[in-house]
Amino acid sequence: LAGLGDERALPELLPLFAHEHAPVRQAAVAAVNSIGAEGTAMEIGRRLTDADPRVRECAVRVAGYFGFDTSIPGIVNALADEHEDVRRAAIEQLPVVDDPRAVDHLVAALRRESPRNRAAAAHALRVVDDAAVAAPLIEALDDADSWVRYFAAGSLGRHHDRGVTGTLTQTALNDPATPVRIAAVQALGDAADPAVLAVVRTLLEEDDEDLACAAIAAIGRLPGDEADDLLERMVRTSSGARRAAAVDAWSRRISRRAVDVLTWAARLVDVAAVPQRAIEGLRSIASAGDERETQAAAVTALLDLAAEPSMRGAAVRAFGGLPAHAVSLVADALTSPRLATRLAAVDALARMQHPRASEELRRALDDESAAVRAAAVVAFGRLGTPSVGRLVAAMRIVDPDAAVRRRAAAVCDRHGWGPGPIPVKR
Amino acid sequence: MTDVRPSVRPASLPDVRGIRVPERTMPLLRDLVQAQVGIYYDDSRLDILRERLEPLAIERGFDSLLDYYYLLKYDPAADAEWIRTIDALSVQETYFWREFDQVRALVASLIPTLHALGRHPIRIWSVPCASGEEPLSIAMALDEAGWFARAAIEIHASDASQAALNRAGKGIYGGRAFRQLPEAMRARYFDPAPERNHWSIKPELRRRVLSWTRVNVTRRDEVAVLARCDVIFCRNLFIYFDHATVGRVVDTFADRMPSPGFLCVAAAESLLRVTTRFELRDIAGAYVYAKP
Repeated sequence: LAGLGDERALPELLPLFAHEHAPVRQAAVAAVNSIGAEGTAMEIGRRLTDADPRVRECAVRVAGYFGFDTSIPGIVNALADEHEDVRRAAIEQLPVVDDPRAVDHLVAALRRESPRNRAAAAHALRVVDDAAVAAPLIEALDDADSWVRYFAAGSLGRHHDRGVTGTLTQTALNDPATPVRIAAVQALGDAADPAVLAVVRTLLEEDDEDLACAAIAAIGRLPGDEADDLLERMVRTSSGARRAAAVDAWSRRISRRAVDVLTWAARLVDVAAVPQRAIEGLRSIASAGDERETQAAAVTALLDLAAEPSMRGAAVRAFGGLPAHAVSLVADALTSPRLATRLAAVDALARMQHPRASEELRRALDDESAAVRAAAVVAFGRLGTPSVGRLVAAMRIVDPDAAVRRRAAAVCDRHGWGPGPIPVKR
Repeated sequence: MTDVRPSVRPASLPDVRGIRVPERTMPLLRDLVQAQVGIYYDDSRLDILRERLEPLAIERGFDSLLDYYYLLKYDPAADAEWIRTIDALSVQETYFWREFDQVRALVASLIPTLHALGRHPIRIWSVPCASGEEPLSIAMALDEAGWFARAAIEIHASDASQAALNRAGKGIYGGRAFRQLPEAMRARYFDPAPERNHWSIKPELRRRVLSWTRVNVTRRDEVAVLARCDVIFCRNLFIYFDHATVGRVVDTFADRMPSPGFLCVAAAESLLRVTTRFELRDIAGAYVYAKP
């Protein structure tokens, strides 16, 4: 119903606010939000005081989503609802409600609500852009409920406030609940404060894989050679999970060293997920930033991997997501003296979603190697590029290699490419 | 009155309909589920796992599956949540008289063999029993052959899903559960239930199944007692496990079962690559794994 976007669906959806299953209610809320029917405000306003708490909860969510002016008092009133779920729905809407007291209400909920609702308040505060929320969030790191502490740590991380580093460090080291420590470590990483490296590195030796991996990810966000050294050590560790986390961390570091490490990691055979993640990392580096030299190194690394039969499929697929500026870097490989590299470049160009890639690929039809010409013909056959139709049609007759002629004939038959004026031949 | 206006919700808040799945979360959940209950979701089936878990995460008020992962892995209340998780992951659609060849072989050959060996009582374990269709089918078949009057026979039923066991406890089944069962047998063992096209199991048949327990077959301690049964029906479960987990479960059965003991798995579940401790035999027209 949401997909159809028909306003007539509104009367059918509203009764679902009383459905016994939360996912159904949530889907109904989403559909009402998506349709945005005229008259929604009035229908929702009426339901903010419905006798059924499930209906009130859903109404609060829709009211918060649209920000109806007329509904703001209803949302604020819902903070005092007798039903915990209704109050929680109101808490979750507060960050987007245009009410000057919204932050005060959130802080009050963080201090005085039920554990589950305190957790919701801590979570909601992550999107409140107000320095005043740091103190109550720090206070919440001592909450008796671990989920409150977990979400408080996460919200502190979202504020990127280096002033809370000391507190988060203590939480990362000492909280009794592992998820809270993980959230604190992630928050330390979000702050990108190099001063935390000394602390976070101690967590690399933790027995808990999730915590150690969070520490690796946090180090990945810190600049400097020392962080590089630690991450390189983690790629060589015996733990598959830590190794994969380190590869992910390297994927976000746009540097020549990252390219080298990921290229090495792509050839690891003892942890199944690592090579694929390393290739994704190289693709990410090849796509990101303005450092052309590093991008070129990543493209070259991907081409080298694509030239290896065991890596070919995964590496070639990575080219599919590269931006336009990578086309010329890939095309340069068409002049490589190494046949395998030129073949990889043909496959890579065929994967790239840019018209220029097809233009560059044309050059491969004139390659001195029949294998490269054949690969280019097959690639154009797959792409169905009409602008090379006459050229391929000519190759079915004049190419010196019988296998190329056969492939050209097959491609021409498939696409109906007929003979044109035969170009001057090699 | 202000009417509908564009959303003011910041981009950082998730869409109210959806739930965030941070990078690498699904493999973490997959590995956790496999370690806990043995069910393995390969990469092509991670979407199914996600579909099954998202409603649970929403019920808990989470907006991220990573939070739900932490709940399952670390929270002191995780045991209770796992019951719900297993319910969500279980495939519970089954019916009476399903894959009946092995039940027929049980009645025609295995029970007489065990009876002749002096087993007393003869114990049969149905796991996973879903909502009871399999153990009740076994009970009906033995009753039809008059075996309850001739030998002491215990039937035990287990499943990992509390929801399935609750349905078994109610003993009320809809029309689809009877699609293979002869109508005369339905009339003999079931009474019409108040709900249209539903039937209720008669108490005397229900009593033939001695115990109903929640058991995770990948937990050695949980199967220790019932794995001593003479005949185990463990059908349509191993297809969800990886080879290593199947091997561990079958080893536990082999360790505990008496000799001879008999293990019935579904036609699609070959054990030939995971164990040499059972021999595949054709018994009365059905394939059964036998512990010599």
